[in-house]
Amino acid sequence: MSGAVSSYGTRHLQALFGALGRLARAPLATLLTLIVIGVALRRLPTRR
Amino acid sequence: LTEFREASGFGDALAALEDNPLPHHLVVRPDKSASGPAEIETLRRYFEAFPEVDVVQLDLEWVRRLHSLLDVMRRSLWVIIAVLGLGVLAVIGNTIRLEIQQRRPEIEVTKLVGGSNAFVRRPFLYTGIFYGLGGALLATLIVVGGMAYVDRAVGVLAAQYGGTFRMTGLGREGMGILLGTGVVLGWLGALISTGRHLRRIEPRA
Repeated sequence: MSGAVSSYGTRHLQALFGALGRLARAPLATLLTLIVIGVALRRLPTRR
Repeated sequence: LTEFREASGFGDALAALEDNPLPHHLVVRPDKSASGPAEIETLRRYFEAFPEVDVVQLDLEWVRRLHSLLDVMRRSLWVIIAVLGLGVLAVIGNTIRLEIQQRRPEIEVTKLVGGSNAFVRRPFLYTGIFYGLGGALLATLIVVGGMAYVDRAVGVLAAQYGGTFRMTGLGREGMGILLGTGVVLGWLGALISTGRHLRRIEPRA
């Protein structure tokens, strides 16, 4: 049981770092996408 | 009387009075939760019922106008939230769709050797979360930087009008909401996109 959970966690970590690595390998494209998302999110009201 | 002396400019004339000839008056500020027109009307009736009270002054028409204005602004804000939220979903969804297209051969091979849809979907979901989180961090930086840049000028302007108005930043709660919203929108955009596009990719014989 703990082996299955550990394996599940490992696969999640692999996917997480894989996704991070892919984003880091294309920094300009990632930055441009982040700017678009950031500008859109900036307008969302976050005050009480 | 002190208030009247300061506001009227009759300081010297009023100094001749031995005692205050003006009737007592109370300024009542209702709580935020009871500031609607109906609650304020109830408050007016409550005060009017006191035999000691001669006049209750209240401009209910202005309260109604203010509430209508606030209602219009609140509804407009919700429309803006919906449109911008959809915009973020569309940007992330489209970015994930392009990534899926780019990695099509890799996905086909993974499915060919028994990789489940959940297994293939997982990295894209993380990518969506990172896009959402990164976008939210950038948005926080834009807001904090913008506030810091404008704050000094606003302080100078307010001081010229005798005020002490300052710009307030997002605060911890605001930052938390922004980051949380970014993560949820990123995850949701990726989930929708992978749900639509991964199903179409099957290994070719």
